[in-house]
Amino acid sequence: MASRLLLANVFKAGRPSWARQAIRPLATAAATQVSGTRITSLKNGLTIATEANPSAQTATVGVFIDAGSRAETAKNNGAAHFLEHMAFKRERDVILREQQEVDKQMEEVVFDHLHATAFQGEALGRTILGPKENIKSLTREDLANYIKTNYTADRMVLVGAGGVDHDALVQLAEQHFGKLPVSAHPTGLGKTYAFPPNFTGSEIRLQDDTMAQAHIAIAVEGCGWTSPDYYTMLVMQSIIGTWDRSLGASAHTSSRLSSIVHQNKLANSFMSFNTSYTDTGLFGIYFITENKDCQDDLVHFAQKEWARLTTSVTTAEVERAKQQLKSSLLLSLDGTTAIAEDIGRQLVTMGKRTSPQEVEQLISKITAADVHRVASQYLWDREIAMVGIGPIECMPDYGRVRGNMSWNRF
Amino acid sequence: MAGGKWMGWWGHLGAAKQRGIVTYTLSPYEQRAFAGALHQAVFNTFRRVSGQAFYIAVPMGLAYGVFTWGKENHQWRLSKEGHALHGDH
Repeated sequence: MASRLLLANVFKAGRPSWARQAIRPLATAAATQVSGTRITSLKNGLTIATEANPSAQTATVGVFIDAGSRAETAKNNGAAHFLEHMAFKRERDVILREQQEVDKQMEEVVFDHLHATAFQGEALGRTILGPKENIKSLTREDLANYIKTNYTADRMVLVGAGGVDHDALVQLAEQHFGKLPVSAHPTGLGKTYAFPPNFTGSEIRLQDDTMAQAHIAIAVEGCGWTSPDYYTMLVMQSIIGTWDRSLGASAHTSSRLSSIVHQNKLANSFMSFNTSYTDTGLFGIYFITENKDCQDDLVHFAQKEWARLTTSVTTAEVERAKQQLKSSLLLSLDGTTAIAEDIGRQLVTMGKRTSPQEVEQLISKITAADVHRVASQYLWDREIAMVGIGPIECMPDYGRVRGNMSWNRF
Repeated sequence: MAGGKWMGWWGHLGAAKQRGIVTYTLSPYEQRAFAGALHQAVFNTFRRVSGQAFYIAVPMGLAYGVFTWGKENHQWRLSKEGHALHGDH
Protein backbone atom coordinates (compact mmCIF):
# COMPACT_ATOMS: atom_id res chain seq x y z
CA MET A 1 0.00 0.00 0.00
CA ALA A 2 2.82 2.32 0.91
CA SER A 3 4.17 2.00 -2.58
CA ARG A 4 1.27 4.04 -3.85
CA LEU A 5 2.98 7.05 -2.34
CA LEU A 6 6.26 6.28 -4.01
CA LEU A 7 7.60 8.64 -6.55
CA ALA A 8 8.21 5.95 -9.12
CA ASN A 9 7.52 7.82 -12.28
CA VAL A 10 10.40 10.26 -12.22
CA PHE A 11 11.42 9.20 -15.69
CA LYS A 12 8.11 10.31 -17.10
CA ALA A 13 9.07 13.91 -16.41
CA GLY A 14 8.95 15.68 -19.75
CA ARG A 15 11.63 17.59 -21.56
CA PRO A 16 11.09 21.16 -22.73
CA SER A 17 9.59 21.15 -26.17
CA TRP A 18 12.23 22.93 -28.23
CA ALA A 19 10.04 22.82 -31.27
CA ARG A 20 7.26 24.74 -29.62
CA GLN A 21 9.68 27.31 -28.27
CA ALA A 22 10.93 27.96 -31.76
CA ILE A 23 7.42 28.78 -32.93
CA ARG A 24 6.69 31.10 -30.00
CA PRO A 25 10.00 32.58 -28.92
CA LEU A 26 8.60 35.03 -26.37
CA ALA A 27 6.83 33.76 -23.28
CA THR A 28 3.31 35.10 -23.00
CA ALA A 29 1.72 34.86 -19.60
CA ALA A 30 -1.65 33.16 -19.67
CA ALA A 31 -4.47 35.10 -18.08
CA THR A 32 -4.75 32.73 -15.16
CA GLN A 33 -7.69 33.00 -12.85
CA VAL A 34 -6.50 30.38 -10.40
CA SER A 35 -6.55 32.02 -6.99
CA GLY A 36 -4.71 30.27 -4.14
CA THR A 37 -6.29 27.84 -1.72
CA ARG A 38 -9.20 29.17 0.34
CA ILE A 39 -9.54 27.50 3.73
CA THR A 40 -12.52 27.78 6.10
CA SER A 41 -13.14 25.93 9.37
CA LEU A 42 -16.60 25.07 10.67
CA LYS A 43 -17.50 25.34 14.37
CA ASN A 44 -17.08 21.60 14.85
CA GLY A 45 -13.53 21.76 13.44
CA LEU A 46 -14.25 20.46 9.93
CA THR A 47 -11.94 22.17 7.44
CA ILE A 48 -13.06 23.16 3.96
CA ALA A 49 -10.35 23.89 1.40
CA THR A 50 -10.89 24.78 -2.22
CA GLU A 51 -8.74 25.77 -5.14
CA ALA A 52 -11.08 27.24 -7.72
CA ASN A 53 -10.16 27.26 -11.38
CA PRO A 54 -13.10 28.71 -13.33
CA SER A 55 -11.66 27.55 -16.64
CA ALA A 56 -11.85 23.92 -15.52
CA GLN A 57 -14.69 21.97 -17.07
CA THR A 58 -14.97 19.62 -14.12
CA ALA A 59 -14.56 19.67 -10.36
CA THR A 60 -13.26 17.13 -7.86
CA VAL A 61 -14.76 17.16 -4.38
CA GLY A 62 -13.59 14.78 -1.70
CA VAL A 63 -13.52 14.24 2.05
CA PHE A 64 -10.15 13.30 3.57
CA ILE A 65 -9.98 11.77 7.06
CA ASP A 66 -6.91 11.35 9.25
CA ALA A 67 -7.32 7.58 9.83
CA GLY A 68 -5.93 4.30 8.52
CA SER A 69 -3.70 1.58 9.90
CA ARG A 70 -1.94 4.09 12.19
CA ALA A 71 -5.26 4.70 13.99
CA GLU A 72 -6.04 0.98 14.26
CA THR A 73 -5.25 -1.67 16.83
CA ALA A 74 -4.28 -5.32 16.28
CA LYS A 75 -7.94 -6.22 16.81
CA ASN A 76 -9.60 -3.77 14.44
CA ASN A 77 -6.75 -3.61 11.88
CA GLY A 78 -8.40 -3.35 8.47
CA ALA A 79 -11.42 -1.35 9.67
CA ALA A 80 -10.64 1.78 7.64
CA HIS A 81 -10.23 -0.26 4.48
CA PHE A 82 -13.41 -2.20 5.28
CA LEU A 83 -15.29 1.11 5.54
CA GLU A 84 -13.89 2.17 2.17
CA HIS A 85 -15.60 -0.91 0.73
CA MET A 86 -18.80 -0.31 2.71
CA ALA A 87 -19.02 3.11 1.07
CA PHE A 88 -19.30 1.34 -2.27
CA LYS A 89 -21.66 -1.37 -0.90
CA ARG A 90 -19.30 -4.25 -1.34
CA GLU A 91 -18.95 -7.46 0.58
CA ARG A 92 -16.41 -9.27 2.74
CA ASP A 93 -15.60 -11.66 -0.14
CA VAL A 94 -14.49 -8.77 -2.33
CA ILE A 95 -11.97 -7.65 0.30
CA LEU A 96 -10.67 -11.21 0.69
CA ARG A 97 -10.27 -11.47 -3.08
CA GLU A 98 -8.51 -8.09 -3.12
CA GLN A 99 -6.14 -9.42 -0.47
CA GLN A 100 -5.37 -12.47 -2.63
CA GLU A 101 -4.59 -10.13 -5.53
CA VAL A 102 -2.32 -7.95 -3.37
CA ASP A 103 -0.46 -11.03 -2.12
CA LYS A 104 0.40 -11.87 -5.73
CA GLN A 105 2.04 -8.46 -6.28
CA MET A 106 5.57 -8.86 -4.99
CA GLU A 107 6.12 -5.12 -4.60
CA GLU A 108 3.15 -4.91 -2.20
CA VAL A 109 4.34 -7.99 -0.29
CA VAL A 110 7.89 -6.61 0.02
CA PHE A 111 6.73 -3.22 1.30
CA ASP A 112 4.21 -4.76 3.71
CA HIS A 113 7.00 -6.88 5.18
CA LEU A 114 9.35 -3.89 5.24
CA HIS A 115 6.82 -1.89 7.28
CA ALA A 116 6.09 -4.90 9.48
CA THR A 117 9.75 -5.32 10.42
CA ALA A 118 10.77 -1.63 10.56
CA PHE A 119 7.75 -0.64 12.65
CA GLN A 120 7.33 -3.91 14.55
CA GLY A 121 5.01 -3.60 17.52
CA GLU A 122 3.64 -0.31 16.14
CA ALA A 123 0.35 0.46 14.39
CA LEU A 124 2.25 1.66 11.30
CA GLY A 125 3.67 -1.84 10.89
CA ARG A 126 0.21 -3.23 10.14
CA THR A 127 -1.28 -3.27 6.67
CA ILE A 128 -4.24 -1.30 5.33
CA LEU A 129 -6.22 -4.43 4.46
CA GLY A 130 -5.66 -6.11 7.80
CA PRO A 131 -5.13 -9.83 8.39
CA LYS A 132 -7.52 -12.37 6.86
CA GLU A 133 -8.91 -13.21 10.32
CA ASN A 134 -9.93 -9.58 10.87
CA ILE A 135 -11.53 -9.26 7.43
CA LYS A 136 -13.63 -12.32 8.30
CA SER A 137 -14.42 -11.34 11.87
CA LEU A 138 -14.94 -7.55 11.87
CA THR A 139 -18.48 -6.82 13.06
CA ARG A 140 -20.84 -3.93 12.53
CA GLU A 141 -20.09 -2.85 16.08
CA ASP A 142 -16.31 -2.76 15.45
CA LEU A 143 -16.84 -0.51 12.45
CA ALA A 144 -19.29 1.74 14.31
CA ASN A 145 -16.76 2.13 17.14
CA TYR A 146 -14.02 2.92 14.64
CA ILE A 147 -16.16 5.62 13.04
CA LYS A 148 -17.03 7.06 16.45
CA THR A 149 -13.39 7.32 17.53
CA ASN A 150 -11.74 8.37 14.29
CA TYR A 151 -14.22 9.87 11.85
CA THR A 152 -14.65 13.10 13.76
CA ALA A 153 -15.09 16.58 12.27
CA ASP A 154 -11.76 17.89 13.59
CA ARG A 155 -9.91 15.14 11.68
CA MET A 156 -11.76 15.72 8.41
CA VAL A 157 -11.06 17.95 5.44
CA LEU A 158 -13.54 18.66 2.67
CA VAL A 159 -11.62 19.53 -0.48
CA GLY A 160 -12.78 21.01 -3.78
CA ALA A 161 -10.64 21.63 -6.85
CA GLY A 162 -11.48 22.89 -10.32
CA GLY A 163 -14.86 24.42 -11.08
CA VAL A 164 -16.01 24.87 -7.48
CA ASP A 165 -17.41 27.81 -5.55
CA HIS A 166 -15.87 28.03 -2.07
CA ASP A 167 -18.84 29.75 -0.39
CA ALA A 168 -21.34 27.32 -1.88
CA LEU A 169 -19.24 24.37 -0.68
CA VAL A 170 -18.96 25.85 2.84
CA GLN A 171 -22.75 26.26 2.87
CA LEU A 172 -23.28 22.65 1.80
CA ALA A 173 -20.74 21.46 4.39
CA GLU A 174 -22.55 23.34 7.16
CA GLN A 175 -25.81 21.77 6.04
CA HIS A 176 -24.56 18.17 5.79
CA PHE A 177 -21.44 17.95 7.99
CA GLY A 178 -22.34 20.63 10.56
CA LYS A 179 -23.58 18.06 13.07
CA LEU A 180 -20.63 15.66 12.86
CA PRO A 181 -19.22 14.81 16.30
CA VAL A 182 -15.93 16.22 17.61
CA SER A 183 -13.09 14.19 19.23
CA ALA A 184 -12.95 14.08 23.02
CA HIS A 185 -9.58 15.86 22.87
CA PRO A 186 -9.23 17.65 19.53
CA THR A 187 -5.56 18.16 18.69
CA GLY A 188 -5.75 19.89 15.33
CA LEU A 189 -4.92 18.57 11.89
CA GLY A 190 -1.54 16.87 11.58
CA LYS A 191 -1.14 16.58 15.36
CA THR A 192 -3.22 13.45 16.05
CA TYR A 193 -0.33 11.35 17.39
CA ALA A 194 1.69 12.38 20.42
CA PHE A 195 4.72 10.15 19.74
CA PRO A 196 6.32 8.98 16.51
CA PRO A 197 6.43 5.19 16.15
CA ASN A 198 9.65 3.37 17.00
CA PHE A 199 11.85 2.27 14.08
CA THR A 200 13.55 -1.08 14.76
CA GLY A 201 16.67 -2.18 12.90
CA SER A 202 15.74 -5.67 11.75
CA GLU A 203 15.28 -8.02 8.82
CA ILE A 204 12.87 -10.57 7.35
CA ARG A 205 14.07 -13.17 4.81
CA LEU A 206 11.68 -15.45 2.97
CA GLN A 207 13.83 -17.83 0.94
CA ASP A 208 12.19 -19.41 -2.07
CA ASP A 209 14.68 -20.72 -4.64
CA THR A 210 11.85 -21.70 -6.99
CA MET A 211 11.16 -18.02 -7.73
CA ALA A 212 12.90 -16.59 -10.81
CA GLN A 213 13.75 -13.22 -9.28
CA ALA A 214 14.94 -12.08 -5.89
CA HIS A 215 13.28 -9.04 -4.30
CA ILE A 216 15.44 -7.08 -1.88
CA ALA A 217 14.52 -3.90 -0.02
CA ILE A 218 16.71 -1.92 2.37
CA ALA A 219 15.48 1.16 4.24
CA VAL A 220 16.45 3.59 6.95
CA GLU A 221 14.01 5.66 8.98
CA GLY A 222 13.02 8.66 6.85
CA CYS A 223 11.28 11.88 7.73
CA GLY A 224 7.63 12.88 8.10
CA TRP A 225 5.62 15.27 5.93
CA THR A 226 6.29 18.24 8.19
CA SER A 227 10.05 17.74 8.50
CA PRO A 228 12.24 20.57 7.17
CA ASP A 229 14.35 17.84 5.54
CA TYR A 230 11.41 16.48 3.52
CA TYR A 231 12.39 17.93 0.14
CA THR A 232 16.10 17.25 0.67
CA MET A 233 15.25 13.58 1.19
CA LEU A 234 13.31 13.63 -2.09
CA VAL A 235 16.36 15.12 -3.82
CA MET A 236 18.49 12.31 -2.33
CA GLN A 237 15.98 9.78 -3.63
CA SER A 238 16.30 11.31 -7.08
CA ILE A 239 20.13 11.25 -6.96
CA ILE A 240 20.15 7.51 -6.26
CA GLY A 241 17.46 7.21 -8.90
CA THR A 242 15.13 4.64 -10.34
CA TRP A 243 16.18 2.32 -13.13
CA ASP A 244 14.92 -0.56 -15.18
CA ARG A 245 16.97 -2.54 -17.69
CA SER A 246 14.07 -2.36 -20.14
CA LEU A 247 14.36 1.43 -20.35
CA GLY A 248 15.45 2.60 -23.78
CA ALA A 249 18.26 4.66 -22.25
CA SER A 250 19.07 2.12 -19.57
CA ALA A 251 22.83 2.40 -20.09
CA HIS A 252 22.81 6.18 -20.09
CA THR A 253 20.59 7.35 -17.25
CA SER A 254 22.10 9.92 -14.96
CA SER A 255 22.28 8.08 -11.67
CA ARG A 256 25.72 6.57 -11.04
CA LEU A 257 24.26 3.45 -9.49
CA SER A 258 22.36 2.70 -12.69
CA SER A 259 25.61 2.70 -14.73
CA ILE A 260 27.25 0.24 -12.34
CA VAL A 261 24.18 -1.99 -12.20
CA HIS A 262 23.79 -1.91 -15.99
CA GLN A 263 27.44 -2.59 -16.81
CA ASN A 264 27.71 -5.50 -14.40
CA LYS A 265 24.19 -6.82 -15.01
CA LEU A 266 23.53 -6.73 -11.27
CA ALA A 267 19.75 -6.23 -11.35
CA ASN A 268 16.66 -6.19 -13.52
CA SER A 269 15.51 -2.97 -11.89
CA PHE A 270 15.91 -0.84 -8.81
CA MET A 271 13.78 1.86 -7.29
CA SER A 272 14.85 4.41 -4.76
CA PHE A 273 11.93 5.27 -2.47
CA ASN A 274 11.06 7.88 0.12
CA THR A 275 7.75 7.20 1.86
CA SER A 276 6.56 9.76 4.39
CA TYR A 277 3.95 9.57 7.11
CA THR A 278 2.84 12.09 9.73
CA ASP A 279 5.97 11.96 11.86
CA THR A 280 8.20 9.28 10.34
CA GLY A 281 8.99 7.61 7.04
CA LEU A 282 11.06 5.08 5.15
CA PHE A 283 13.92 6.01 2.82
CA GLY A 284 15.52 3.21 0.90
CA ILE A 285 15.99 1.17 -2.21
CA TYR A 286 14.15 -1.80 -3.71
CA PHE A 287 15.88 -4.22 -6.10
CA ILE A 288 14.54 -6.92 -8.34
CA THR A 289 17.27 -9.21 -9.66
CA GLU A 290 17.70 -12.54 -11.36
CA ASN A 291 21.50 -12.40 -11.00
CA LYS A 292 21.38 -14.62 -7.93
CA ASP A 293 25.15 -14.84 -7.38
CA CYS A 294 25.91 -11.11 -7.31
CA GLN A 295 23.46 -9.83 -4.73
CA ASP A 296 26.30 -8.83 -2.44
CA ASP A 297 27.80 -6.65 -5.20
CA LEU A 298 24.40 -5.07 -5.81
CA VAL A 299 23.89 -4.18 -2.15
CA HIS A 300 27.52 -3.07 -1.80
CA PHE A 301 27.34 -0.54 -4.67
CA ALA A 302 23.99 0.81 -3.50
CA GLN A 303 25.47 1.36 -0.05
CA LYS A 304 28.52 2.99 -1.59
CA GLU A 305 26.19 5.49 -3.29
CA TRP A 306 24.43 6.11 0.04
CA ALA A 307 27.78 6.76 1.71
CA ARG A 308 28.68 9.15 -1.10
CA LEU A 309 25.56 11.23 -0.34
CA THR A 310 27.11 11.98 3.04
CA THR A 311 30.70 12.41 1.97
CA SER A 312 31.12 13.61 -1.59
CA VAL A 313 27.94 14.16 -3.61
CA THR A 314 28.51 16.85 -6.26
CA THR A 315 26.61 20.05 -6.95
CA ALA A 316 25.95 18.88 -10.53
CA GLU A 317 24.17 15.77 -9.27
CA VAL A 318 22.14 17.77 -6.75
CA GLU A 319 21.07 20.30 -9.40
CA ARG A 320 20.03 17.55 -11.81
CA ALA A 321 18.03 15.82 -9.10
CA LYS A 322 16.37 19.12 -8.13
CA GLN A 323 15.22 19.70 -11.70
CA GLN A 324 13.95 16.17 -12.01
CA LEU A 325 12.11 16.40 -8.68
CA LYS A 326 10.52 19.74 -9.54
CA SER A 327 9.19 18.52 -12.85
CA SER A 328 7.96 15.27 -11.39
CA LEU A 329 6.18 16.98 -8.47
CA LEU A 330 4.65 19.74 -10.59
CA LEU A 331 3.63 17.43 -13.44
CA SER A 332 1.91 15.13 -10.96
CA LEU A 333 -0.52 17.99 -10.23
CA ASP A 334 -2.16 17.53 -13.61
CA GLY A 335 -5.95 17.59 -13.29
CA THR A 336 -8.44 18.45 -10.59
CA THR A 337 -8.37 14.98 -8.95
CA ALA A 338 -4.61 15.11 -8.44
CA ILE A 339 -4.85 18.67 -7.07
CA ALA A 340 -7.71 17.73 -4.71
CA GLU A 341 -5.72 14.76 -3.40
CA ASP A 342 -2.66 16.96 -2.90
CA ILE A 343 -4.64 19.54 -0.93
CA GLY A 344 -6.37 16.85 1.15
CA ARG A 345 -3.13 15.02 1.97
CA GLN A 346 -1.30 18.22 2.90
CA LEU A 347 -4.09 19.50 5.15
CA VAL A 348 -4.62 16.17 6.91
CA THR A 349 -0.91 15.58 7.50
CA MET A 350 0.41 19.13 7.99
CA GLY A 351 -2.65 21.24 8.74
CA LYS A 352 -1.63 23.72 6.03
CA ARG A 353 -1.28 24.03 2.27
CA THR A 354 2.08 24.34 0.50
CA SER A 355 1.38 25.72 -2.97
CA PRO A 356 3.29 24.40 -6.03
CA GLN A 357 5.12 27.77 -6.15
CA GLU A 358 6.29 27.33 -2.54
CA VAL A 359 7.36 23.75 -3.27
CA GLU A 360 9.41 25.03 -6.22
CA GLN A 361 11.09 27.63 -4.00
CA LEU A 362 11.81 25.12 -1.23
CA ILE A 363 13.49 22.74 -3.70
CA SER A 364 15.46 25.55 -5.38
CA LYS A 365 17.08 26.46 -2.06
CA ILE A 366 18.62 22.99 -1.53
CA THR A 367 22.43 22.80 -1.89
CA ALA A 368 24.97 19.96 -1.93
CA ALA A 369 25.85 20.94 1.66
CA ASP A 370 22.21 20.33 2.64
CA VAL A 371 22.35 16.87 1.08
CA HIS A 372 25.59 16.10 2.99
CA ARG A 373 24.00 17.24 6.26
CA VAL A 374 20.68 15.40 5.80
CA ALA A 375 22.38 12.21 4.56
CA SER A 376 24.73 12.19 7.54
CA GLN A 377 21.69 12.58 9.79
CA TYR A 378 19.43 9.94 8.22
CA LEU A 379 21.81 7.48 6.50
CA TRP A 380 25.32 7.49 7.94
CA ASP A 381 25.67 4.68 10.51
CA ARG A 382 21.89 4.42 10.97
CA GLU A 383 19.79 1.37 11.72
CA ILE A 384 18.34 -0.40 8.69
CA ALA A 385 15.31 -2.54 7.95
CA MET A 386 15.79 -5.25 5.32
CA VAL A 387 13.52 -7.63 3.43
CA GLY A 388 14.56 -10.40 1.07
CA ILE A 389 12.13 -12.61 -0.82
CA GLY A 390 12.95 -15.32 -3.36
CA PRO A 391 16.32 -16.89 -4.27
CA ILE A 392 18.26 -14.83 -1.72
CA GLU A 393 20.99 -17.20 -0.62
CA CYS A 394 23.66 -14.73 -1.77
CA MET A 395 22.02 -11.71 -0.12
CA PRO A 396 24.56 -10.32 2.36
CA ASP A 397 24.12 -10.93 6.05
CA TYR A 398 22.30 -8.26 8.07
CA GLY A 399 25.37 -7.48 10.16
CA ARG A 400 27.48 -6.82 7.07
CA VAL A 401 24.93 -4.49 5.52
CA ARG A 402 24.44 -2.65 8.82
CA GLY A 403 28.22 -2.31 9.15
CA ASN A 404 28.45 -0.77 5.67
CA MET A 405 26.19 2.11 6.69
CA SER A 406 29.41 3.89 7.65
CA TRP A 407 32.84 3.64 6.02
CA ASN A 408 36.35 4.15 7.31
CA ARG A 409 37.47 5.05 3.77
CA PHE A 410 35.71 6.99 1.04
CA MET B 1 35.95 -32.76 -6.33
CA ALA B 2 33.42 -34.99 -4.69
CA GLY B 3 32.68 -38.38 -6.19
CA GLY B 4 35.25 -37.75 -8.92
CA LYS B 5 33.09 -35.00 -10.41
CA TRP B 6 33.22 -31.20 -10.00
CA MET B 7 30.23 -30.10 -7.92
CA GLY B 8 30.06 -26.56 -9.23
CA TRP B 9 30.96 -23.13 -7.98
CA TRP B 10 29.58 -21.58 -4.75
CA GLY B 11 25.83 -21.19 -5.02
CA HIS B 12 25.67 -24.05 -7.52
CA LEU B 13 26.85 -26.96 -5.42
CA GLY B 14 23.88 -29.00 -6.54
CA ALA B 15 21.76 -28.77 -3.41
CA ALA B 16 17.98 -29.12 -3.62
CA LYS B 17 16.06 -25.87 -4.06
CA GLN B 18 15.23 -24.37 -0.68
CA ARG B 19 11.74 -23.04 -0.10
CA GLY B 20 9.70 -21.74 2.83
CA ILE B 21 12.66 -20.84 5.02
CA VAL B 22 11.80 -17.73 7.03
CA THR B 23 14.51 -15.94 8.98
CA TYR B 24 14.08 -13.00 11.35
CA THR B 25 17.05 -10.91 12.48
CA LEU B 26 17.20 -8.13 15.04
CA SER B 27 20.03 -5.62 14.74
CA PRO B 28 22.73 -6.06 17.39
CA TYR B 29 22.28 -2.38 18.20
CA GLU B 30 18.63 -3.03 19.12
CA GLN B 31 19.64 -5.69 21.59
CA ARG B 32 20.81 -5.21 25.19
CA ALA B 33 23.70 -7.64 25.27
CA PHE B 34 24.55 -6.89 28.92
CA ALA B 35 20.97 -6.50 30.15
CA GLY B 36 20.98 -7.09 33.95
CA ALA B 37 24.55 -8.44 33.93
CA LEU B 38 25.57 -6.77 37.21
CA HIS B 39 22.37 -7.83 39.00
CA GLN B 40 22.76 -11.40 37.72
CA ALA B 41 26.42 -11.41 38.75
CA VAL B 42 25.32 -11.14 42.38
CA PHE B 43 21.87 -12.69 42.70
CA ASN B 44 21.93 -15.39 40.04
CA THR B 45 25.40 -16.48 41.14
CA PHE B 46 24.13 -16.76 44.74
CA ARG B 47 21.12 -18.81 43.61
CA ARG B 48 23.21 -21.20 41.54
CA VAL B 49 25.92 -21.59 44.18
CA SER B 50 23.45 -22.20 47.02
CA GLY B 51 21.59 -24.69 44.84
CA GLN B 52 24.73 -26.83 44.40
CA ALA B 53 26.21 -26.20 47.87
CA PHE B 54 24.68 -29.34 49.43
CA TYR B 55 26.21 -31.67 46.82
CA ILE B 56 29.66 -30.16 47.23
CA ALA B 57 29.79 -29.24 50.92
CA VAL B 58 28.53 -32.57 52.39
CA PRO B 59 30.93 -34.90 50.51
CA MET B 60 33.78 -32.46 51.09
CA GLY B 61 32.95 -32.30 54.82
CA LEU B 62 32.85 -36.10 54.95
CA ALA B 63 36.13 -36.44 53.10
CA TYR B 64 37.79 -33.84 55.33
CA GLY B 65 36.47 -35.67 58.41
CA VAL B 66 37.90 -38.99 57.20
CA PHE B 67 41.19 -37.31 56.28
CA THR B 68 41.69 -35.57 59.66
CA TRP B 69 40.62 -38.71 61.54
CA GLY B 70 43.12 -40.78 59.56
CA LYS B 71 45.91 -38.28 60.10
CA GLU B 72 45.31 -38.05 63.85
CA ASN B 73 45.01 -41.80 64.15
CA HIS B 74 48.25 -42.27 62.22
CA GLN B 75 50.08 -39.78 64.49
CA TRP B 76 48.67 -41.53 67.56
CA ARG B 77 49.80 -44.90 66.28
CA LEU B 78 53.32 -43.54 65.95
CA SER B 79 53.28 -42.31 69.55
CA LYS B 80 54.53 -44.32 72.57
CA GLU B 81 50.96 -44.71 73.74
CA GLY B 82 49.94 -46.15 70.39
CA HIS B 83 52.91 -48.46 70.27
CA ALA B 84 52.11 -49.57 73.77
CA LEU B 85 48.60 -50.50 72.76
CA HIS B 86 49.23 -51.97 69.33
CA GLY B 87 52.93 -52.44 69.78
CA ASP B 88 54.30 -55.31 67.79
CA HIS B 89 57.86 -53.99 67.95
